[in-house]
Amino acid sequence: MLNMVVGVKWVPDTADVKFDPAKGTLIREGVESIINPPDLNAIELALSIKEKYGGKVYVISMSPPAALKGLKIAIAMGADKAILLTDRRFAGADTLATSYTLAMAIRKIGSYDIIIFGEETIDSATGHVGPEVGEILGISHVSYIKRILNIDLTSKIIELEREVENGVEVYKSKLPIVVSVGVGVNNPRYPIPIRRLHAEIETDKYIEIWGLSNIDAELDRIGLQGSPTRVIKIIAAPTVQRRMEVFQYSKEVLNLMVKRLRECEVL
Amino acid sequence: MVEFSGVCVYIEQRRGIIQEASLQLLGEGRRLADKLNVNLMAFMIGYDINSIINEPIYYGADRVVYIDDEIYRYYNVEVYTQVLVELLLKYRPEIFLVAGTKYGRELAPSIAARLETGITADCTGFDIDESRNLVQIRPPFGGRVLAYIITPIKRPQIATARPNVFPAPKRNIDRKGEVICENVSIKKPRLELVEFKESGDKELPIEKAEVIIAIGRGLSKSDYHLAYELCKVFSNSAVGCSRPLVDQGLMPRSKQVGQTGKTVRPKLYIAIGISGAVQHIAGMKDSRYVIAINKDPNAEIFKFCDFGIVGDYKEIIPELIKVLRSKH
Ligand SMILES: Cc1cc2nc3c(=O)[nH]c(=O)nc-3n(C[C@H](O)[C@H](O)[C@H](O)COP(=O)(O)OP(=O)(O)OC[C@H]3O[C@@H](n4cnc5c(N)ncnc54)[C@H](O)[C@@H]3O)c2cc1C
Ligand SMILES: Nc1ncnc2c1ncn2[C@@H]1O[C@H](COP(=O)(O)O)[C@@H](O)[C@H]1O
Repeated sequence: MLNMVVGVKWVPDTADVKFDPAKGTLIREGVESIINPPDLNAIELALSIKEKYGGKVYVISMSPPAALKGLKIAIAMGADKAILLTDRRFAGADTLATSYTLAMAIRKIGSYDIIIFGEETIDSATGHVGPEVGEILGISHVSYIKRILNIDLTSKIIELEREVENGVEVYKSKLPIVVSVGVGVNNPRYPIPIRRLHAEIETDKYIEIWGLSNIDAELDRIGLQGSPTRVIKIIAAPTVQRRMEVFQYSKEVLNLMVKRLRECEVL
Repeated sequence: MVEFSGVCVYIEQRRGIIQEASLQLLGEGRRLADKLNVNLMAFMIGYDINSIINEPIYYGADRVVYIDDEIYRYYNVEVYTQVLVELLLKYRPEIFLVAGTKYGRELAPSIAARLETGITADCTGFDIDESRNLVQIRPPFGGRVLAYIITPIKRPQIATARPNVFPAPKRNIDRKGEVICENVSIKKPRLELVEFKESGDKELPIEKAEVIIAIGRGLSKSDYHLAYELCKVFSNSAVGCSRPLVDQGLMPRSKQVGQTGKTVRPKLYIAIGISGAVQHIAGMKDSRYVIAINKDPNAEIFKFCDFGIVGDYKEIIPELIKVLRSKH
């Protein structure tokens, strides 16, 4: 029996987010939110471990209440229980304060063997949360894993494989451990409609809502005051102006292309 | 309490070879140190690294602090975190920069969490503000915006930097500096590296290529040779790809361009059968000239190209090879 905890972030679909250069802010209104894509792979990994070794899958998200929608999807995929960490005082957290809050909540869940995160979020894209949660809990952590090779339930030793730029590494560690996975390590399963219905009508049975009073967290380590970093401004990223000459294919087009390459001193 | 002062760059070496991205950061570190009027230090960890310990000085460091022991032969996040935390507590730099390789992206947040300090990921620019804070500039939201971030109180200010954004400084073997050998005692790690299988990729790395032929899901596996043939028409060229090809095991991870792959800025980028998803664009948008070949006239990639050809690659590539060969 293994207890898995999966961190899930409810994020605006970045493909639709626009920037308001006048105000220097991102326009999130009307933008659909989704489960951060690699977090679906994290849920899938947890469920597949459960199927092979037995256990329980908890999903946790620190977010405003809107993330409830995402947690219902996670339940519909097969997670046993979800925790929505929501409290005004958690707001404004950077990655360190987020990791601390998540770590304290995970500690409150009690027994955990494998904590799984996505490799990074599509909005902030830091990949900090995995290593930071691991360090705060004082347990092993490995990012960018490709697959779990083996878990020995008696000795509680896990063996896993991950890929770096110049090769593949195999690691071994005693549980508990934190790992992170990217999109492409597996194919996340679809939510099951009947579970979705249950998550909808018996939400309380599957999803708990926790605030600051439910976890043992120090006030000066959460939210904005617990965040060592500050975003001072956001600007539109400068873009290279492209010529965008697009043609239907013909042999003459290729000659024109070669001409352009010469003009632009590429050839 | 001792004040924090100085800029420090972590020099990542793998089997005695210093990572290019770390050398690039020495240039940026030097610039920041000069702006603050402080020293530039470099930390290096490994085994049998005597022959390379002066390299950071040749690239701009004033001082190298290194640790050389058998137990550091291979990277292990737990071991390296312990060592670097010890060194940071002893030497107390105000700024600590780490190249954003896979190891760096794992190691830096690990260190930041232990020191309970701030960290900014994947920076593409740095500056110093009027309060002597490090301004860390990074591109979240798939690179649509640039965020300016500071760590006003906690020290050190830690940041990882995206590889291949900063140019590496010129190597100057006449530069002199101080070299210090350190020793720290560490706890036995829970995490153990069992095996390392080095990938036998001997081709020109895409981040070094002047011309990249990038292939996407639109190409059938049996046609990849067309891309390699086109690649051979140019010198200093390499074949790159979009992410699905890597996920399906059709191409090695080292060839992936994009947000979760490599950032490239070649002279010429030819995208074939690539739709132009934001995550892909994020990795190639700074290329000098972009050509797109796609059979779908509405493909996003055409908004990010200089020259687009709508049509079937099967027809176009062989013809393109002929034309280039005759006019090159
Ligand atoms: C968190 C996250 C991170 C990601 N990171 C990356 C990343 O780093 N890099 C990356 O590339 N992707 C990344 N992706 C995936 C990305 O969203 C796209 O799915 C991917 O880039 C699409 O690859 P593609 O363009 O090759 O395939 P597709 O989108 O399937 O496009 C194939 C194209 O080929 C064209 N085509 C088909 N047949 C022909 C023909 N005969 N001749 C000419 N054209 C043809 C089609 O018209 C189509 O436009 C990421 C996704 C997520 C969620
Ligand atoms: N607010 C959050 N709640 C739960 N999990 C999170 C949260 N933020 C980040 N994570 C997890 O940490 C991973 C890495 O996120 P990041 O470090 O922000 O790039 C994500 O893929 C999630 O699995």
